[in-house]
Amino acid sequence: MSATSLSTVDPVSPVPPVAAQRATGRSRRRHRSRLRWVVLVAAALFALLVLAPVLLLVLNAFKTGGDYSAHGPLALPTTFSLDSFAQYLQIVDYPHALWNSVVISTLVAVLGATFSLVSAYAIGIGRVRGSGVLLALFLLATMLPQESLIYPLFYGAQATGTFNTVWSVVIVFTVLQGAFGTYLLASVTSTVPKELLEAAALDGAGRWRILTSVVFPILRPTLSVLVVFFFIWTWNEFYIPLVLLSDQSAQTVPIALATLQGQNSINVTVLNAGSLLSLLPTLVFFLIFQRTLSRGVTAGSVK
Amino acid sequence: MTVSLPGVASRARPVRQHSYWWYLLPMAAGLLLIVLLPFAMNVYYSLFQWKGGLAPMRWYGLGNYTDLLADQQFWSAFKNSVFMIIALVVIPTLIGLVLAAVLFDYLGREFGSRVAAVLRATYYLPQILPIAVAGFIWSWVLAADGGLMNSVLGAAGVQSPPDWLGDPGIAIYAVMLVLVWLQIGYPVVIFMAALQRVDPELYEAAALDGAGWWRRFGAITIPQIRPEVFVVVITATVGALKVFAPILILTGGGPEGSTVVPSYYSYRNFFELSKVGYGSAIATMMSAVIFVIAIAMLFVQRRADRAEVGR
Amino acid sequence: MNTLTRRGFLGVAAAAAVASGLAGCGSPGGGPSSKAFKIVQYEDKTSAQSQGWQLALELFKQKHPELDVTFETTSFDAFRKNAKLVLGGSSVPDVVEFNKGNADGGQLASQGLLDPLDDAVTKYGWADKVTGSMQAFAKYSATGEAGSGSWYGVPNIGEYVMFYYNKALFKKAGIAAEPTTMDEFVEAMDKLKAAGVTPVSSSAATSQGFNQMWVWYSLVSAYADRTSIDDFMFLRNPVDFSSDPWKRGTDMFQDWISKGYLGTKLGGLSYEQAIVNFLSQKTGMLIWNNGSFARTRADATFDWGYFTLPGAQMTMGSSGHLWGVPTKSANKDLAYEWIETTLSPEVQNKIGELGGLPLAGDTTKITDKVTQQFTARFDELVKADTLTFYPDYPVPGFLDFIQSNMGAMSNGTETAAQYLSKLQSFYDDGRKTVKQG
Repeated sequence: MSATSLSTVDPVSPVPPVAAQRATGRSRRRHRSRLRWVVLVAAALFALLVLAPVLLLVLNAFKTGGDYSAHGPLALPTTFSLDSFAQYLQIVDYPHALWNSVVISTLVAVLGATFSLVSAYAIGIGRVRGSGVLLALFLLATMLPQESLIYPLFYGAQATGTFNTVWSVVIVFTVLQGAFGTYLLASVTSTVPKELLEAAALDGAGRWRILTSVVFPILRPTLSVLVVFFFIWTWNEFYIPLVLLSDQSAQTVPIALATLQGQNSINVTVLNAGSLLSLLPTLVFFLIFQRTLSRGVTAGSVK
Repeated sequence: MTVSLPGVASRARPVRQHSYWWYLLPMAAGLLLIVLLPFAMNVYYSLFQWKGGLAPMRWYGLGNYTDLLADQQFWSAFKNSVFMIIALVVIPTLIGLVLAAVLFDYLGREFGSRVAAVLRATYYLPQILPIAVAGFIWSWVLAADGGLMNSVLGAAGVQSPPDWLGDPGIAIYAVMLVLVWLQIGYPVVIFMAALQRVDPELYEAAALDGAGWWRRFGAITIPQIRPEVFVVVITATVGALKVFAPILILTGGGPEGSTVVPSYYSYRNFFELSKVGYGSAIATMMSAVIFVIAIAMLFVQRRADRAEVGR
Repeated sequence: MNTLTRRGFLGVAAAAAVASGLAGCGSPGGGPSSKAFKIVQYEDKTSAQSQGWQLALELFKQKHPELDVTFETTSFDAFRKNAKLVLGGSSVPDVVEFNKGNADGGQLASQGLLDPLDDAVTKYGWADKVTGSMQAFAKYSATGEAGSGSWYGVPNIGEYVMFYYNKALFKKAGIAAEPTTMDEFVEAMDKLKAAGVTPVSSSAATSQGFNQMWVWYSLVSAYADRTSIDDFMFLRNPVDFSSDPWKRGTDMFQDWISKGYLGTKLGGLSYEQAIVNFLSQKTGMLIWNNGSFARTRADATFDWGYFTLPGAQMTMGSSGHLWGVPTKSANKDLAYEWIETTLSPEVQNKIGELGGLPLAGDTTKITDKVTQQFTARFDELVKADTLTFYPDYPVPGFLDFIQSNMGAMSNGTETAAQYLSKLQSFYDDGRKTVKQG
């Protein structure tokens, strides 16, 4: 890795190389150091703005129902309380729903990313005939409103006996998310350097070999993005899982959360607590994968 | 960009080759079963009048489509789609580009990638929230009396802050604000991953030439991540034309129908009015419209790709 | 560094597959010796009705130890959307709770997804427990219209709409006693306004702001009689909205809006916000139904009371959601027994004790005074047959239509006359569609 590689977290090598750049004149350094703080503060302020609504969520999850009713959603809790969380866990079988969601989302994320890579390889690098049409069809998958899929998918799941099992949902979302993933990766494969592919072919590598040893490492950052997206998108899916998983034992977290909303009543603080609990796994997943998102092969590996 | 070089392949023939079509098989099969078949069924339903479930299906031919073409409310809903595109495509992509570059290229360098990662996670947080909850929270932020935004505005001296969600003239803009908030993380994450690919030596060379940060941004960053920009723009456009859940949660198409979007029709017909045939026609028509627009954009993307290769 | 290798992917996938196999095995149904019985409902676990059902579940299980009973909770919204699919599919529950009204229950009945219950009703004598207008939404015709035809559902509880009020704020505004006539009510609102308090907490957001719609319909109900409501609700005789009670009620509604009795900037508010506005003492009164009774008791930090609209001839209110037996249910006799259990004295009295307005409970047995009075009022209304249900039931899509117009009237962009004429055309169109079948 060259000394000037940017932003890759290499816990082993220290940061100094960047500092070497700034050894050009004191005044320029002072100016730059002031500017970087300004930019940082600006970015942090913007982050705070983005975060503000979520803080409201947190605020109201730690209130009792009475506190919220008496003082409204914007007031700080008079007493910090875990009542709402306790209530939520009583009403909803959270561990079971959590398990269902984790299983489904993980499977879809992994399978979806894998199939996307493989299909994008064929389209983007293999340049199969009619790849344009294929890409368009994949995009079509992302265009259909979910309501229009519900009846056919329901009958299909019942016919194939996958109804009420996680597999119906996993298959459906692997395909739906995979369509997006194929499109994204196929677009990005155009950036894989020809020389690498030619070199590998010259070395006698078959298509599979080229995929695993050349294309896969280069596309890894984008693949990480896909895994994260697929996990989170699948986690928050509501309508299709609702239709395909009608038993309570197969409920996912969003479906369980929805049972808190009645026709004419909503238990707000409990809903907030439940939402936080629903949010935490996906947030944790994102944070874990962040590390892999910021690592990856830079173009320097061409050398 | 031709990759399978005939000359090379013939030399490499002794190695067993999997045909590329095998690689496509899983997704192609899935696509057929999960997307194309249901879409075909959807078109089939649209030729009938049907209340769903076990109700009788009454043949109606293209009746649903002629009804739809004459349905003023449906087509005027597309006007709001323009606002949706601005809120979900234009603004977030532009902001996302700048943010991703600043995070990756500046703050990441100056303060270490941990800072950039934390900021990115914050910007992405809205994408992780379940939409029903986000809708709730924003109703607290945008409440006319005592909402967070109006409290801040009031403290800043604004005399009579607007009724964000209740005023038919303003609600669409409030919805746009929420959509920008929701969407921002998507381009930021994709673009930051894309920036991994940019050869740092390009930047070095430009810096040596005396190019400032903005210059490098425009001349190197954006062109280098062009494929991802296309993907974000196209998928976000499709999303904007299809957007539904945030609208339902925030305003229900109101006040006074000012925030109705086309997919709202599909939903109402499927679930509230029990007109599954008409709802299917709407879904088909919407897919057709979106398809046409997306194909046009795809075409532009392919042309740009080819031009790039030709260079 | 290698967390993302292909092997890593496949390893995770394999592990998850094994795990999911185990998860997928969690389907209900005990061993081959015990029969399975599935109940699906969507009530909030903390509500009185749901707690009553918990008792019913215990009693039912005691009676049938050989059964493997599953009591599933879904959500109102989910069931509304899915009912047609689920009830027509292959793994159908044995007894379900479903939403009343032509759009939901009516459709399920007319499509043959629910069984008629007339025989069970006669056998168990349910018509004596569910009386008068409480039967209206339990019965559906062949074309799915409520109000006549066979029994398809059995309700357990009722609902009615009232005005909760803040006694402290009333005192501050100089209101001596609860208003008993319409004039006194208007006077009270004037006094509240003069004291700088919004008289009635309301809301008009299209998606969740139902309070305005209830105010409007309460005013219409105030001057209505049984025939005019039944004609409207059950599509019997044509309705002329330009005449009373419609005209009178709607004109009054517009008047109240312009006088500021109902607050301002309602277009963006939801009913939840309206309830919180009342509980946080920003308004003098709140219009809502018995659903807020338990919450007000628990959360109000002030002295409060309630009354139905003073001087009104009729009041908004209805039966609750219904138990129905799917046509594809495998255990219909057991389903009838379950329904009978929910209507049994023990269960009904338990619901009554918790303030859930049971249809067949003994109100005198309720120990808490406040709850007893609250329930007694409901009993009065049922006996007098003056309940007018909810306005969005008659034709499909009505809720959205009315909500949109409530917003327009609240914003002052639509007059009563304009609303009534739009209402006429929408209703007439909808009526035609429903009659078509």
